[in-house]
Amino acid sequence: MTIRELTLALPPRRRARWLGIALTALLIVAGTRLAPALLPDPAVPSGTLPGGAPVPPVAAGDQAPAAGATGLVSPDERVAFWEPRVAADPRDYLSALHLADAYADRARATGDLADLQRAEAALIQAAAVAPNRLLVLPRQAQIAFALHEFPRAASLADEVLAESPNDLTALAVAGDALLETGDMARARQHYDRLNILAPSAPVWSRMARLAFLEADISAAFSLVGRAIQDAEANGFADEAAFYRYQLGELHRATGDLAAAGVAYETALVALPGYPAPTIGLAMINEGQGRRTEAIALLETATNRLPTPEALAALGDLYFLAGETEAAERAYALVERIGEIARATGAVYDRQLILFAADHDRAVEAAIALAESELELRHDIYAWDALAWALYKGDRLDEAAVAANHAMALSTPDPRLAYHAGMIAASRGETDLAERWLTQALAGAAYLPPLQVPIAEEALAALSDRRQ
Amino acid sequence: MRTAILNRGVTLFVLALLGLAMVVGSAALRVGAADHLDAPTVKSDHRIDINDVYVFQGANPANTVLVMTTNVHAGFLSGTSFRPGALYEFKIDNTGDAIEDVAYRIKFGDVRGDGSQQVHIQRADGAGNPVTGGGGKQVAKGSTGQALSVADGGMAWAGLADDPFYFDLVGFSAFKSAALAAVGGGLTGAELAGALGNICTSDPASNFFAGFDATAIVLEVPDWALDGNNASGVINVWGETAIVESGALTQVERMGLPTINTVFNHSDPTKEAYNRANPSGDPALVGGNISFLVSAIVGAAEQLGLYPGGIDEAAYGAAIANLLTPDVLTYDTDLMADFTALNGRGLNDDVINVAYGAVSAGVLTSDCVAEDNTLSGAFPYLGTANP
Repeated sequence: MTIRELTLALPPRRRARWLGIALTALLIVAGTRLAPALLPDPAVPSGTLPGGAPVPPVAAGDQAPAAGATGLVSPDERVAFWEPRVAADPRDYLSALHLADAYADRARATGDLADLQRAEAALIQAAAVAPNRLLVLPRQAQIAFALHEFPRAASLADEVLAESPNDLTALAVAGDALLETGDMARARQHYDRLNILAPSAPVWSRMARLAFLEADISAAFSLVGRAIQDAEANGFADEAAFYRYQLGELHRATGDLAAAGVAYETALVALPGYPAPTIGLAMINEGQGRRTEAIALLETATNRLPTPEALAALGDLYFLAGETEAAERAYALVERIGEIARATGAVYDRQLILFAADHDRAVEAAIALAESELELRHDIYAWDALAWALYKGDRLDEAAVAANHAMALSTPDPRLAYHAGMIAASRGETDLAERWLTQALAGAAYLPPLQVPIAEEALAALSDRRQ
Repeated sequence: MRTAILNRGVTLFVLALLGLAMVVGSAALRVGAADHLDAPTVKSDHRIDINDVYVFQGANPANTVLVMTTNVHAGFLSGTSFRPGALYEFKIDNTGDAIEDVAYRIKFGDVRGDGSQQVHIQRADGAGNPVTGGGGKQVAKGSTGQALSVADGGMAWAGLADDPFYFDLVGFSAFKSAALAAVGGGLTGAELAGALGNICTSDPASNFFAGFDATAIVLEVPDWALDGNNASGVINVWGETAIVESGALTQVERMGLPTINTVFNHSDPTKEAYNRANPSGDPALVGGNISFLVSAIVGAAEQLGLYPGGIDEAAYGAAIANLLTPDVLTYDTDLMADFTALNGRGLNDDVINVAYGAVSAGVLTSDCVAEDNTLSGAFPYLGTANP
């Protein structure tokens, strides 16, 4: 069933429930292979990692890796194993901890918010009887991070690190939370520490993301390459699929669509049905003029994991294909997800701000949300979201200030360049606008589909004006 | 021979101390077995974490079997492979100085699509094959899951197997929680009795390790290949793992006796340092910790009337520290393994029952866990992996 059919077929109440289940598509906690806490947490919102919303997979149900047998049983099986143990003996804090891990892994695979809530409940039960709170706190930090409660996640992680400075989980969560809130220097310190204590693919993947943000694209490619090699040599097919996806995102951001396509397809061979590379592949198809294929891929991905960003992209493609009613239904679905998401936290705020600004829907509310988010997070993507919303609200001077913050690291993210370029153009800063829009369009497959023709028209207008 | 100086009563009490000592040594214990996940490096990759080391007589009495289990709860906490490129080692001292005279070095290749890995086994025993470093003469080669012939006699096997360790970890954890605060601060007899009430709350009690697998390396070789035909037939054995750090092969884990690092070292840095040290330095490295802790526990146990004639706690602590260091499994290759006599360690040896029996002065003789092993009398001896 396609998204179009689904939105038509479901009665409102069931649709809302279905959407609720989908809300945690990006909410994951750390992985389960090397260091349980070390897999990058793709719960980061759109824009913090090239391509938006990577979802490192786990072997769950039909997502079982096709190659490189890891031997790790699925989260479903682990939940089924640990649940009766926990129920049988309330003293059994170890089983409760493992059950929490299994719930969290299953949430990563299915996007079921309820599993994160179950994980929290299991951790509360464990905390009541565990002899050492350091067994529980790092996991609670992970869950808080997955819920985008960054200050709480950082606080919990710091509490652990105060007693156990080399706790890998706490170091990873603290570093990730620092990155999400814009403290790059301290995030780097944590990652460097992790790299000393546990040099491994999950750490290199994190460092690659940091390198990308700081515009060291060469280092980013190198680190992701190391992560892939390491994961594949160790037989961690699902992890390798995530790193292949991350590689694809780097290629897509830098305009190498062929290489990006290979990376996504390789990820999908290792892990068929994995939504994140499916979305990436859809964007590649759109970038290469194969809109029908792009729509089909996005329908597949969003049927499986309907994230706001992917649904918005699907709506854009419908719109560009002339299917305006289908587009509007997809957009309405994004907004409905937003309403539900806000009732449970701030997980999708950033995606929703950008969606609203991109589509000129409830722009004032988007500005307010962006300003609110900036109070908690000071990373470049928080500034970018605010800049874009302010621009759409015709507050151009403020938008320019915010855009300057967003571009402070020269991060080679085409979306940042697009926003900054449009803002500069509106202020008559022709040279700057041309440079940034040119940069943005070099990675056009990275932009929301509906924004590409807008960027092209703006650049052409600048050229005309110069002539 | 070290075991010769022990009478059974002393041995029982040593094991009792180990049982109680786990009370205070569990900060890094995630699943609570002999040596599991005891320091940051091994916690970063369970596959290089040694669970247990066993040494016992083979089905052929002229052979000795060495077993190293790794990767606790394999398949549930991590995958089921060995770490490619890591070095897994059995080290054997046959001169009594806790410095290796023979080493068997096992390496694994990249994980194949079916989950199997290539296995290389080298032996190092002298100037031509120095025991220091990471090399040696190749004595076996094959794949995981296959029985491999070892040059000069013997067999080797590596793969996934049922974890032979068994223990009511939940009951022990409750016991531990109840007793933890008092250890070192004057544990009273009543407090100890209360804590012991958490043991055997059901019969049979739950075995936390039931149904779990571990990765395991099994090596069976003629006694002479280990003891070098020394006069006593006694060897000291321990396991190590090493990985490449900063371009150099670096020891990151070791284990001989169960629980030593987990119990007697109390911080990540000291656990890490211990894992990277050699057994010969153990008296200085961990002897003080053992002596302190054992003395405290003896003091508590004395309040229960276990020592009507009194006991010199400090002297006893020092004696136990001397006994437990270096951290190696001592084994007389002419005898059957029996951990209660500190002669090697058989796959089915129940450390916990022995320890509890001594802790409770005979009132509590078991943690009520029935062993669930499906061991084989023939190579590779371990139970098959759980379905």
